Amino acid sequence: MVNRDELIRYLLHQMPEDDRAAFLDRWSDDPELHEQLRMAESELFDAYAGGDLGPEERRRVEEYLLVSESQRQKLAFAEALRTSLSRRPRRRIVWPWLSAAAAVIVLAGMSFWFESRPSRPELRPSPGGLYAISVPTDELRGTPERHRLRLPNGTELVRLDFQFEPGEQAAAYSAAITQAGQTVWTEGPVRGILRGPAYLVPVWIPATALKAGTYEVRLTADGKLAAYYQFSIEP
Amino acid sequence: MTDWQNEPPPPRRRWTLSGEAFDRLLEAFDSDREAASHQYEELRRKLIDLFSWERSEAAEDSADEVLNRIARRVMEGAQVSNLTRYAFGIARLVLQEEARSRRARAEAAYELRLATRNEPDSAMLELLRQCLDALPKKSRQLLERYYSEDRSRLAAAEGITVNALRNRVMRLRQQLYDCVAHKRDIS
Repeated sequence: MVNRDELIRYLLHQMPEDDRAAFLDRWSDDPELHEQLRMAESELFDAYAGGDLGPEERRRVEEYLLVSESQRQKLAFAEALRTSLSRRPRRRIVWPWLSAAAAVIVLAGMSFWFESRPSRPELRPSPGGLYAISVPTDELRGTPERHRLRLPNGTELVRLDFQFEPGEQAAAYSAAITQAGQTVWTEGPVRGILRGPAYLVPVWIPATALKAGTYEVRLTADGKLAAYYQFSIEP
Repeated sequence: MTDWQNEPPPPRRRWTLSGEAFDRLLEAFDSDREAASHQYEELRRKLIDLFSWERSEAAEDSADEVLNRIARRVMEGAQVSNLTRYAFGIARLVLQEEARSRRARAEAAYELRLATRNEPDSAMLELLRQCLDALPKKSRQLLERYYSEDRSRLAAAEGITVNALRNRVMRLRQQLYDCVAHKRDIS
């Protein structure tokens, strides 16, 4: 009998690669384990549809289990199931974790509030809405004053997409975010993505980790510094 | 950015699965046709799950690609002692082939969904309603209670453990999902 946590760790890619490969070998030969995995996946989608997952699990479901249309159909089924069967009064869900009370703000291309750039159209995240702007590569490496971010009230999760110069990309990075010499967030391995012509490295951070102040971000690849950024969070 | 990163993945070599090749493939599973069909479907289901959980964008197509490659090898005279293991080995190769472009396309789809999705799919709701109506009343009531009430109390009321309750409901859930998928396929 496999621990349920192990099933979840497999589905959400939280196992080391070697363990994951070994686990795959196990379930490929074990119909019962395969069935347990399917059940665990269903429960993940149910919890996701019900808004019962924490930010990190939600992110992982998004990243690893909702890639294909057939997988998204499983989520649509879970949402329909809850809608059809739940007899409790349920709060209206705009997106499972995206509500006015708890907004997830996606910040694309280091999407900062450029108050020092009056020529840029003012972009304000609407409550519960999607906030996404792209910043050209040459604007990324300046003083933190140029990259000031104000998190709207209710923000739970922030995604920072660090943009790379063409040709710089590595297979995977480790990200370390520090404030006044103290590490506030580390993540790795983080893999880059191509979005149109841009190469971005996304890093997800709980908003609670980002207090007002100046931050430094170091992305390393194979132990070597690959990129360095600065930004500041306004009160 | 180099040119190859902008290019779509190279087209897979196409080999058409003929009726004869499919028959030979089934024989490789089992000499009994019915048993072979069952094993074939079971392996295909496993492969679809494998590709789904490894972030494939078209898990069913990828699973069929693996089965086609096995059929081709069988037609060429390969002796495969463990088809499941062999299939998973080929699946790993297919996954590697997909890996290069998968991430970027997935990200684009994710952004689109964030921006556009907001309510349960009405067509899905209607199909689900039909499938729920087709369930025995007792099963439907169990599902309703599972998704609405305290599960420990429900398990106690049913005289079973929470884990047994979970397994029972998840089997019902899978039955419903298969029903909805079937109706969607034929609609």
